[in-house]
Amino acid sequence: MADDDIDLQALNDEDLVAQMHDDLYDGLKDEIEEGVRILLERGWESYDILTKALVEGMRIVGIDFREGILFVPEVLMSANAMKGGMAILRPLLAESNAPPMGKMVIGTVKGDIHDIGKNLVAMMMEGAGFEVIDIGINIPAEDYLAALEEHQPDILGMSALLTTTMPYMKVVIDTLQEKGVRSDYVVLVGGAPLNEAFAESVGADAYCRDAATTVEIAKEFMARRQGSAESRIREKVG
Amino acid sequence: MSGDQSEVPTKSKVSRRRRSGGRATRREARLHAPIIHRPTLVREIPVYELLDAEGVALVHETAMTILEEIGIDFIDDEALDLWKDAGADVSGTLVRIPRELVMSLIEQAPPEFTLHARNPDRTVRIGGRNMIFHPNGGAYLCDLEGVRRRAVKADLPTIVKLVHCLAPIHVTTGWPSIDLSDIPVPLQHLDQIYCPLRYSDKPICSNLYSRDASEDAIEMCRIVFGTDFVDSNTVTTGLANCNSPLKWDGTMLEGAKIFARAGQAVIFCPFVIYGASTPPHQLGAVAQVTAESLAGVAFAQLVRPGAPALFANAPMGVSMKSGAPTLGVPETSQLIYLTGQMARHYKLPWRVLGPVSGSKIVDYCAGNDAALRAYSATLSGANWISHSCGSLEGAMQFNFAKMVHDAELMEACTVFAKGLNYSDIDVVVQMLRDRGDDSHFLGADYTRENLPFLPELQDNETHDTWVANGSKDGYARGLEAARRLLDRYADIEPALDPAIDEALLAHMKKRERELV
Repeated sequence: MADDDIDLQALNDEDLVAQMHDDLYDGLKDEIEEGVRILLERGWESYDILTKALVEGMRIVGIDFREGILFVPEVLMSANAMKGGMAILRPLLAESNAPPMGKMVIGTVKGDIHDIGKNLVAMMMEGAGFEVIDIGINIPAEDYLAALEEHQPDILGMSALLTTTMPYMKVVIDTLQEKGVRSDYVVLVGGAPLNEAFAESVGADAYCRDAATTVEIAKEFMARRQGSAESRIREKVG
Repeated sequence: MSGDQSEVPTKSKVSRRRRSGGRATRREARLHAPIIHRPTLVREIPVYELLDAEGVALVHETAMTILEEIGIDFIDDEALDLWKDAGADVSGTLVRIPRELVMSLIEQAPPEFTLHARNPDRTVRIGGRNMIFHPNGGAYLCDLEGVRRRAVKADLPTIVKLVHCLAPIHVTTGWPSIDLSDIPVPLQHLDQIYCPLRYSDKPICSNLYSRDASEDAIEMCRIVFGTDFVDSNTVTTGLANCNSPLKWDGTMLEGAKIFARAGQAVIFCPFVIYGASTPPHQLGAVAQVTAESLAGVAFAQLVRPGAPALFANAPMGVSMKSGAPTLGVPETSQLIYLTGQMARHYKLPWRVLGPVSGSKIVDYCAGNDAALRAYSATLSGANWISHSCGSLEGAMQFNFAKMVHDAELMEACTVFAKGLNYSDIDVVVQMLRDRGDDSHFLGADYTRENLPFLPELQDNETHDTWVANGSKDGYARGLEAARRLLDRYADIEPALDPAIDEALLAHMKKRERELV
């Protein structure tokens, strides 16, 4: 391809960001890392690089994934490239006052070891800029709670493949209620046998029917949380 | 397979990926992927055979007994003379053929032959391990609006255009495609030959159901391919049905003679309704079919030694509640496998009736019939699979939505028949070694480069996703896909030399005057 020889340094900011969107689309980790470094050298705020170059690029990837244009292996490549960029930005973002993209603890419920779907969600969420703590499979309620306590995420994600294990999601959520921490987290649930009604019945915030949808739902909840946080601050200041 | 571990492309060892143009390029590639017409499918899997050597010998012996002792009717004076001259015992219209005569004649039929298309890239090979898919039609059309009705002249270009856009389908269809109710019967064949020649450059089938139709088919092929080329090459195929049990009628024989004399291929296909036109006995039915089809193939050799001819079977069952033909029943699958085995025994190319259904709509019954027959045909090693897309109501209805569904089924059969990948085992072992914390291989380069078959018309998503996408059933998805494909025809329309087109139209005008 002729554009294989593109010199990212030679591009102006606008063209470089556009090229990074394409490089994310093509799953090019090295090129994304190079692009991030160039923008940092040019004095860009880490938060701007994250949102304008990476998150926006992955938003485009998400659209084409949902439309069936991109396939799972390609989206995972894109997510991997995104992670490469994020690895550079994360320490810088931590130092800045930038609002976090969001943090998620995710695990497959007790009795269930089927985790391909959960892993896919984790990759996609990381690809969208979320910090994801994957606590694995066969997770009892106490382990979920310990992870929430330790990592203080915005979102708890639970998955199950079996009709025999999916009721355990209610056990976890009830435990959160008992401990009085349920409202501290957005609880998202997913897995093949679930549906909207089940998610509602166990007291989850939302049912996520696939990995791409999960990212969209998570972003919506983050916007709401940040919105309400901002309005609380405004109220206090006001 | 490489034994050198250093060459194994594992995750850590793959070369750096290259830019491929980003979103615009990928969207263009996926949304407007070129329609790549499939070449002849060469079967790389073993065939499934139900008969042991004794079984083959039993069917052969029974078929020979039928031909030698019971005899078969040839309702055509010239055919009877040809048989008499060749040494058969002819009594009235009944011909008893000595086995030595039958066997010596069918030995003259080519085990393989080439069916030329006007575009050499679409030319296909018939026989041996080759497989091709060909659509047939019916008396009614279920159109793009989902209305079942008699077809008219204006429908045929649309049908041919859609078939042209279906990549896995090798042969286009003019005849047998659909009855054109607004054209007098004696003239219908002209459009049925013209449309596939004009709107597609895939190989064609022609109508041999009358002397006029047969002669016009040959003549119009001569206009397109050139007289000399047609005289020495096969450019079309006609279907002759035996009126089972044991009767070749004059109409079929007349057409078959014209085709065979012109060096064009004839499919000699008994019309088998198991339990009605054959006794309900698998080996007996196939012995009857063998006798009928072999008699046809042998007859073609009497007309022109070396004439290309196909052994064939169109097995259907029968509902004993009504007499209606049944399609997706176990005996028809058994007959498909048995027919293939006998065709190979005689070293003849052979044709079978593919994924046709008795259903009236694109529903479970249609899918069941289609899948059972498609995989039976594929596993039986059929060289020519007819009714390969669109046929419902036991081939009475041609259905646009089913055309695209069946084409996807034919694509699946193509992948299946291409067999297995024996290389890369070392890569796979390395992937398992390198899996790390991943419990899946979805992100592996090898997966991305070796995407599994992707059915576009089946919906395997979750219920909620399906609802979010409009809760469309298979029929609705098929109809949408048919419309989308037709929209793409303009991009791939094969040009036809205007002088040839003009000559074809002039021939048709002349014949319309003569035949009315």
